[in-house]
Amino acid sequence: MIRISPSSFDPGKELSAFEQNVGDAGAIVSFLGRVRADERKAGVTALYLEHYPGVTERMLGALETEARGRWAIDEPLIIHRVGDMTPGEPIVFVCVSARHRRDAFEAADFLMDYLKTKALFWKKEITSDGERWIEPRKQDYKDAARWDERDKDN
Amino acid sequence: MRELQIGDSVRNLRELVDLIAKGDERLGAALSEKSVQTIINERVSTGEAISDSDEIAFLPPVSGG
Repeated sequence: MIRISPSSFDPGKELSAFEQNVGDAGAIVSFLGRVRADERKAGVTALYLEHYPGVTERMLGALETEARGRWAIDEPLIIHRVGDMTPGEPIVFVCVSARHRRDAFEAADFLMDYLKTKALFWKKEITSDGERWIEPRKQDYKDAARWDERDKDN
Repeated sequence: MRELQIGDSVRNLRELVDLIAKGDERLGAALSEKSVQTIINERVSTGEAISDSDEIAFLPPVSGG
């Protein structure tokens, strides 16, 4: 299930609801990304996220299909915020269930790498010094490239 | 906002970016960045070919999560 929402959400409640519907899965992995007040720079007072309505959802649907083709997982849950957020608020929540933990861990990792580097979201930081659009770090691209490298190896 | 006349000679994304670069070198260079994704008719482009009435979007580097 994919949900892109301008409203805040409660990760605890979402995880609990997800757990109710996973059947006999032996493993559930969840990841929560939150707005950080980055202490290395001028404090982040807010974050603004945009997406490409229709297209972003379609790409995430294809991502979900790809993850399910790579690992033996159930339908994952992906919740992504858009709009205005403040430090401490959840931005993204991914839940993956599977019969075995390795599939769940790897699929969640894969989904997050994709969300960081390829999914159509744009993030703007608002700090006491001004505003700036954020780009993925080199490490984010490296992390995402691991899955392509693994494809080549197989 | 600027309008650009695209003739029949532009058949693919590379030629389109080249045409844009002729009018604005900086914009042409920016659109050639690897981190820029291209969407044709609301789908991530898998090829370079474009045709009349296509809607083409050049997207700046993304940053979700």
